[in-house]
Amino acid sequence: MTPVSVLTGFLGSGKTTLLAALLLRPEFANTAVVMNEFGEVGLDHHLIEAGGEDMIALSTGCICCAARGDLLRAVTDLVARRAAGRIAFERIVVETTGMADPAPIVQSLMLDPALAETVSLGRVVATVDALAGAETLDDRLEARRQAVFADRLVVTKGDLAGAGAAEALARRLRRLNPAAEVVIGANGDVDPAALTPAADASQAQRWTALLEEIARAARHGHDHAHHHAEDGVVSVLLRREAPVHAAALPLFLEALAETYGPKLLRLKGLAAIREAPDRPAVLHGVRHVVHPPQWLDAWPDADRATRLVLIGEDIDPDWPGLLLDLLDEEAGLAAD
Amino acid sequence: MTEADMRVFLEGLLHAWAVDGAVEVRPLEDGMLGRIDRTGRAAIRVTRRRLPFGIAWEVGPEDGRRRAHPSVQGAIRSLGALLAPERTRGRVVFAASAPP
Repeated sequence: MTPVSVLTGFLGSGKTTLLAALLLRPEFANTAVVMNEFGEVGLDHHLIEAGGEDMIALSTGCICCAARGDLLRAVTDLVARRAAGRIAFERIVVETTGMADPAPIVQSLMLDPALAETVSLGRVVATVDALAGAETLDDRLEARRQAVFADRLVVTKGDLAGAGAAEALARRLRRLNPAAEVVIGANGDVDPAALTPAADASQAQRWTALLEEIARAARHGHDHAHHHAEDGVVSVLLRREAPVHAAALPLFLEALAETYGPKLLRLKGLAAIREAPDRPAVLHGVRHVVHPPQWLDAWPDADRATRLVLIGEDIDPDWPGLLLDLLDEEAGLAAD
Repeated sequence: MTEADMRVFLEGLLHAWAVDGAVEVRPLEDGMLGRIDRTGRAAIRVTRRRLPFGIAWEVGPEDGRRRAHPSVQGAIRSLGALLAPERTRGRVVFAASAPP
């Protein structure tokens, strides 16, 4: 499987600088890049120093809106050219525009049955500028959406803003998105492993990264309130000690989709299932598109509670847990 | 489910759908009754009863037709149709691609 990672971040936050620097690193050799050429002037295109034939620039507008079909065609085209032996690559990075909402982009990649045979989701990485990022997060919902949606957050321009400002922004980002790993970079000097899974990473290794995210969110939930809001964008940790009936799980996902619609941006976590107490189910979804639950062979640690991270807008911190309790009670009565 | 839970449940839905309303909950012999008051509009009545065959939800305008549901999921759908019919709903779709 070829991992497809999505690089997002607000206008001027340093996405292309980061990508250009990473593409020069040996770890990023054999990377194909799909980027957005917004409007007539493909400025970003000319800033990339590497990539050559493996780069495709989209020119029909923002890939999160009108040109999602173009994105899929671009990725499909890359895969087809590789299959024909014309190019070689081991991973794909999609760079979005600064205003893009990454959710529909990732959703498109998740849903395409033709691509499912050859590509898997990599990571969603968002850049946040240490100089102007705090102000942008205050003013722009697009920037907050990008930050809460990401698996990894890179604080850029740390060298220009100074360590204090970069650390303060990193702390804010950790509160906003407790599941994400936050790294501080300067001039694109970021560990490549933080941004995309190794091309040869096994499924187990990829699960490990996801489990670390959940553990990070759970630790944060212990240390602080389990809910952080910035103008309606929230990260909610749902923790439940008792295992749930298997039948309650799909009903829970349906009820979340019914209630929150596009306001639910991401869901990821581990669920303890009554019928399979030794094998936790891993849940991962973007908006209302969810991967079929994956079953781990064993619990990763001694904690056997259900731990779900919900990221979205206007999510009441107590509501999802109550909903799961109600559905589990109903499923239990039906089973008795 | 306690009466406090019912209040959290109904207020959470109002919050998610950006609907202004006041929630009152009172006990019934076999469950509880929630009432959502909206200024200038008919109040919505929600009951949850524990019956011999399971849980029964009933949702509808106080002065109109009510719908019965065997699950909270159906009750949410009915409440959404009454309180926020224009909202964007989602239906769960399973992804084709491999998980990350």
